[in-house]
Amino acid sequence: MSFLRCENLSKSYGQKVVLNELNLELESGKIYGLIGRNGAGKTTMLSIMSNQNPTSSGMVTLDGDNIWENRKALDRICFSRELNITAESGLAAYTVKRYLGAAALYLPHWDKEMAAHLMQSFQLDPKAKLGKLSKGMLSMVTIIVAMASKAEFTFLDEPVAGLDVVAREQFYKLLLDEYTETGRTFVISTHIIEEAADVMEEVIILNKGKIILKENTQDLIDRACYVTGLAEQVDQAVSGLECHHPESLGRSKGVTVLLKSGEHIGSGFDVTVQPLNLQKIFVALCGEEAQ
Amino acid sequence: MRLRYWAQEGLKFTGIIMAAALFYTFLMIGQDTRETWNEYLEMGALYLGMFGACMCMILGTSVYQVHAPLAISLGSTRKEVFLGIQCYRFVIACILLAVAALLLMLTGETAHSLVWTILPLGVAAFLLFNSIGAVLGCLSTKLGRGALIAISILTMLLCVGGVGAAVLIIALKYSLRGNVVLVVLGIGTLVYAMSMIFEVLTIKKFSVK
Repeated sequence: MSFLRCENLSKSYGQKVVLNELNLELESGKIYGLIGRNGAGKTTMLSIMSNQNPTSSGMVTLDGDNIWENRKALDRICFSRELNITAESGLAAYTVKRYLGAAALYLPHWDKEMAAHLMQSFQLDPKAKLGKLSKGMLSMVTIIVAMASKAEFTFLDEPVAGLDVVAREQFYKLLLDEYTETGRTFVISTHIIEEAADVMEEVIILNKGKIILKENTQDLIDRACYVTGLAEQVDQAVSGLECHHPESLGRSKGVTVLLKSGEHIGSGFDVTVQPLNLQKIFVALCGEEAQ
Repeated sequence: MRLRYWAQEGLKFTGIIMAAALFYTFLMIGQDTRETWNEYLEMGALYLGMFGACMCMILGTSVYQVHAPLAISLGSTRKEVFLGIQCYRFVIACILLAVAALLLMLTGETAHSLVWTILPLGVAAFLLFNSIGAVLGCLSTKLGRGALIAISILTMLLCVGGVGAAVLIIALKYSLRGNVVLVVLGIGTLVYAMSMIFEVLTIKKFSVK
């Protein structure tokens, strides 16, 4: 079993603090879903965890060894970034074949056959220039790099951005097949939470540069609920429990509750208790300031 | 293994530079303004030097805009990237200088003049132009798009200066003494070493955006 750890990780750009004393432990052999609002620091965190960006303070270790400029550690990590191809970007002139050729030269465990097979199944033209590809097609290229890298710890940043529903289903199936076959560790950063929830074994919620939750996805869904009713009834029923995102409408009130082990919603009150999906839980945890 | 990418890219651009030099030489032959075959060969060597020097500056910027971020995002260390950049530049410079020397040899240029005057001056010119390219490339990582426009204008001005310098080198090749050549080579090496310090400092903290 291997562990990738972030220890007191901080990152600032000028005065702006993006990651703030962040601590995280990733265990090998799991699919993690990384969710957070725009600007929460997801890409920065994954960049630092793959040596692509330096930290302001703190460090990332793989089995106890600092990964910074560590060739051995980097051979086990792949972060397939979202490709932002602009007109002035030099990568715009790269063909798919040339880009994947560069990946094959750099990534030590590159699976050439898998890359060729995926290119065919995604119907990507190897001669097409990256600058001419749609957002969805660029996502396909990043998926190919991530999958064919065969890296033990593979990070994907918004892999389904721009993909149509068929391609998204294709990606989730591919991910599960690869995971079942190899037991690789995947970290998937996404905004399409409900779709990805089924494949995430653990969910990591990042908010304002801090990890606010890291938990087994099913356990989190099981202990979350939405309590509605008259405000005074709700307040009494959830008294002493961990509540988030209270919403009022006249005399009625709704609140998201995260129950800890052994806790229950108070009985004898006229309230309705509903289960919540991962997306609703995320909104409750991170959407308070958006109200 | 990781240097292979840089060597491949270097070879690719060397091919482009050689093709451009060949095209312009044939253009001159087509105009039939010269009298002897030797003059065409000299012209070919001159174009190789000119295009090579100009490309060294332009590629210095593209290295930091494309190749370095790509290499680091695909798992390369910054140390490997630094070595790769040097490999990239030296592949281009060495091949172009070798081909230019070969062309000049075919014109009947003496080995003594080639080894003690033309090649050292050529090396000095490549070192100087690569240094300018390296510094501009490093600046482009810090200053962004606005700086790139300024860099492009500066590059064009320097290219014009480069043409003048190349013509001057050819004109002076018979009159320059060995110690002057060595001083020029020394200056080129020193400037390149200083630009490498700047590069090391830039690459050390390089972030993929």
